Amino acid sequence: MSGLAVRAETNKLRGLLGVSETALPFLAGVPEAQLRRLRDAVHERLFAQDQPVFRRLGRIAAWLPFWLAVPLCHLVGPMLTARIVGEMPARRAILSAVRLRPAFVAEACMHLDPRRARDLIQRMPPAKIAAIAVEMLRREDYATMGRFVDFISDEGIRAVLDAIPDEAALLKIAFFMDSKNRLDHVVRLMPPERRARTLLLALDDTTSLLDEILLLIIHVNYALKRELGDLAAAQDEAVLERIVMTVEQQQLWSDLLPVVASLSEDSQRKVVNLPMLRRDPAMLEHILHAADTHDLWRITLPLLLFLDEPSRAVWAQVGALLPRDALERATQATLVGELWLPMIDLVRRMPREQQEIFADILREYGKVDSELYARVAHCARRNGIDVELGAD
Amino acid sequence: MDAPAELESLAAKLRRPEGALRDLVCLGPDQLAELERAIDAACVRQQLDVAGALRKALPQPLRAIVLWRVRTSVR
Repeated sequence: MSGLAVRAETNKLRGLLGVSETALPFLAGVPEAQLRRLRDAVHERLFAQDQPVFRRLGRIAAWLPFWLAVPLCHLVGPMLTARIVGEMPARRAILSAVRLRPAFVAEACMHLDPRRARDLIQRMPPAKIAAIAVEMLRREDYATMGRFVDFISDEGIRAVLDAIPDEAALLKIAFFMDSKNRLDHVVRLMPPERRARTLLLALDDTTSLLDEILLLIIHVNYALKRELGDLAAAQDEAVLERIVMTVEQQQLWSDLLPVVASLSEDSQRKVVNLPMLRRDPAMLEHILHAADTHDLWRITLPLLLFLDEPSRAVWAQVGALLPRDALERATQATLVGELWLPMIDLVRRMPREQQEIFADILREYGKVDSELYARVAHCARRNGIDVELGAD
Repeated sequence: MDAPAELESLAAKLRRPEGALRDLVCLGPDQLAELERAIDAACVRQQLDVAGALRKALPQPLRAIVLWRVRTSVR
């Protein structure tokens, strides 16, 4: 569960309920998927109240010629227009929608459920979508924009990207997007140089966009994670430490570990050897805890390969605090990933007590695979694990 | 394990099976009640907004005629 995604969802739910940004603080502990289901249910409940009336009005409005429908929209205002349009066939609604001013449509969108207007949104000309987006941006209504992005065609998205030169605004919109799959696709529609500009802007300590860029990097696919992550890792140590501090404050390690695992080797080396991680063993403890509780040992253990000597000592010190069952899970991932060398190198730096636990786990493996046991036991002894591993 | 009464009430209000809200069991009874109150308030506000917008857009007696016509056709 991404803490950032939960925050975006709670903000959207608070907006829908019309409560303050600090109301219902207990929602922060609810999983993101549940918050989204709850928001959908509340949305439907709100819309269901007057739906029979608006359905009938929609049927009547569908018969009106557009030259009459447009002034009627202005007469009834954006909210009622949105509710009526949501009940009209898209082929009729589009005739009026394209003739309404972008400012009017932007306000109507606040009251429109995009799922009900999917066909209408698809029929909207890209230039009109861009004009409405610019108007929403002027109102700083990022949440509404985020709700609609999922339903806009690629041509519409490109038109919006062209019309909004401000990368900070794009990040704020992306933060509120519902579909994370769509987020990945939208980021791909951006030219690479613009993606890079967006990332660098977010990393600038004069902006407050770290949450937004982290949410984006966490939810895009492997290739984009690597592209954006490598670019971030190429920045100064101070920039990386600011990212790490944000991740630590919000406990986003389970989200960030897959990002680090997708980086190039040079970038991984730079990140795992950050002095901050050596200075603060508690932070490393949180990382290992996230790896264990989110079943991420298989992508975390390969990072051991890139540790320098001082970092290995700290990782071993923190790793020694793991309970036996966590060490068992880590050893299982070691077996699956054939990562015995880095694991053994870590264990040999741990106190004798932990080494004995590791040896005991290995002996359990030996009962089912004596060949594996012999190989690993030999490797362990050669690496100076000061413990009797038993016969091999 | 049975869902708390507050969760049952919330599910009924939102016309959802309790299973659809199962992850809200992490909330306490007071929190569920507070959430339900916020949803009730939003529903009332929405109704007032719609009524206000209709009042603004359609002066009486036109509003009464339109609503009467719409509501009778719905039935």
